[in-house]
Amino acid sequence: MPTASLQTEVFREAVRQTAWAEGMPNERFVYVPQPVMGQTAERLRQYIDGDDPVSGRPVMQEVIEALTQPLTEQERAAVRFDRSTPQYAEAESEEALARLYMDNHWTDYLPIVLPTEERVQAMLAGTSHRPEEVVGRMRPTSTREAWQYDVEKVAINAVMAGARPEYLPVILALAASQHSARGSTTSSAASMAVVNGPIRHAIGMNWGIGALGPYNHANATIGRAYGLLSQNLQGGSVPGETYLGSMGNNYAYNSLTYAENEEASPWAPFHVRHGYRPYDSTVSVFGGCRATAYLLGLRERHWREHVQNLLRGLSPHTPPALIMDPITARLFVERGGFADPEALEDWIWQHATLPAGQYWDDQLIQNYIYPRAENGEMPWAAYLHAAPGELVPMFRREDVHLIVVGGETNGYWRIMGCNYGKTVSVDAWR
Amino acid sequence: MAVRALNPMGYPPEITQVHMAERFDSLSGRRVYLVDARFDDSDVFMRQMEAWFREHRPDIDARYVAKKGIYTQPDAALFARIRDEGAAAVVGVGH
Repeated sequence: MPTASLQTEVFREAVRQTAWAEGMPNERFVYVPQPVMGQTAERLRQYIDGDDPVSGRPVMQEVIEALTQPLTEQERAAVRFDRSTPQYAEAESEEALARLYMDNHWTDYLPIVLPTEERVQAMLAGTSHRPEEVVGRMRPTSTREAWQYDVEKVAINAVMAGARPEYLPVILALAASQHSARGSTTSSAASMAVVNGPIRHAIGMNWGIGALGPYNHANATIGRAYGLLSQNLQGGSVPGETYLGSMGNNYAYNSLTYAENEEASPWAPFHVRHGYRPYDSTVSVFGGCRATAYLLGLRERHWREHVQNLLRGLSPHTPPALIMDPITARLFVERGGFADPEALEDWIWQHATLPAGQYWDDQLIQNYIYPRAENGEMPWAAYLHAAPGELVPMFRREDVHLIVVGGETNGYWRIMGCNYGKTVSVDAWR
Repeated sequence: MAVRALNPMGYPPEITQVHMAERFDSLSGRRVYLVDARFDDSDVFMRQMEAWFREHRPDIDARYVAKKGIYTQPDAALFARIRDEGAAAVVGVGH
C-alpha cells in the first residue's frame, strides 16, 4: 500500500539507515521540525502548513506526492545489499591504526589496546569455548535489526577495553545477556552490571570502598568491555545514526560495573534471590540507568517520609534499585524491621505512589504504559479507572530491587532508576 | 610495514528487499488513513493533519486512527483494516 512516513528532522539519518536495513532503501520520508513533544496544536499545525526542513518543500505537498508520484526507475530497481564485515583493519603504523578505530566509531574515544591476533588469542585462553561459537545477537533498540557475534568477536572487544583473559567469562556472560549497554534511546540511558559469586574473588573485583568508581582494574575494564562490545557487536553506536541520546550519559563509560558486597550484606546475595546458588558466579544486567537520588542513613523519626521523597523523585516509568552500603542495609533491618529483603521490596512498592491524575499525565507513562493499559495489561489496566486524586503504585512490585555494595566508610545509599534485565551464569562461559 | 588488527564489529543479518507499492495518479475519492504512531504528542499532530485534509483536500477521505500498543509494536488488526478499507496511509510522527 502506498505509504508516507513522517519523521522529525533530527532522525533523518537514523530512519534512512533503518529503512535500508529493512530492505526499503527508497522509502519515501517527509520530515517536520523537532520537537513534536510538548507543542500546542497551533504550533504543530504550523509544522504541517510549513516546509520540510530537510528538503525545503511544503510538507503536505510532499505527503501527497509520496502517495501519488509514480515509482522511479531507481525505486523499482533490485538493490544489492553488501554487508560483509572485513576480518581485519590495517594501517601504516600503530598510531594510524588506533586513529582508524576511533574514526570508525569503534572506540569510546579513550585509548584502546589494539586487538592484534596475538592479543586476541591470549584473551581466548580465558574460556574453553571455541572462537566461532555464536554467543548471541544484539541491537541498539527493539525496532532495529539485530547483529550476531561469536566468542572471538567478544574477545576482540575485551582486548580493546584492556581486560585480562581471566575476566573473559564475565564479559562473555554480559554479551550472552543480549542486553545492549549502548541503547540508542533519546533518553540517554546507561546500563549497570552487578557481579555475584566466587568469580568476584577470583578476578579481584571491588565491592568495597569506591566499588562504583575508577579504582579497580576488573570493575573498570569489564564494564568498559561491556560498552565496547555492545556498540560494535550490535552494528554501531554513532550519534545521529545509531545513538540518539540527547545529552548522553557518563555512566556509559563503564556501565556501572561492580561486585555485590555479599560478605557484609544482611541478606542473601542478589543472584541467590534470583534462582542461583551461593557458589554460582553470575552477572546481572540492568538498563535504563539515568536518575539517581541519595540519602545518608535512615533517621529514626522520619525515615519513611525521606525514602518516599526519594522515590517520588524518580520517573514512574523507571523503577527503583536500592544500592545500599552495608551500613544502610543493616539499618533497614534494625530500624525498619526488614530482615526479609522481600519485605523491604514490598514496602518500597507500596510507598512509591502518585495521584492517578499525575501518573497518567506523565509523558513516559503516556508513551509506554497507557497503550498497554488500554490493551488490558495488568496491573496498569486496573489503574485506568482510579480517580485523579487516588494514589496508584508508580512501579510494578517485581521491578523493585536491592543491591548491597560499599566499604562502610559511611551509610550513604542511593536509588538508581533502572530496569532489571536478567542474570546470566558466568560459569557457563568459563 | 602495515600493522594489522582484528575488526571488532559483529555480523549483520542479510537484507531482503521489500518492493514499494505502486502509487495512485490521484487520491481524490480515496480513503487515506492517518496513523497515529503514539509517540509523544503524535496524536495532536495527526489530528491537525486530518484538519488540513478537511480544509484543503475535502475530496480525499482522510481519517485519523490511533495504533494500539506502544509505538514499537505493530497493530495487526489495524493494519489489516487499513489494507482492506484504505487506499494509502500516512504514518507519523516517528523519531
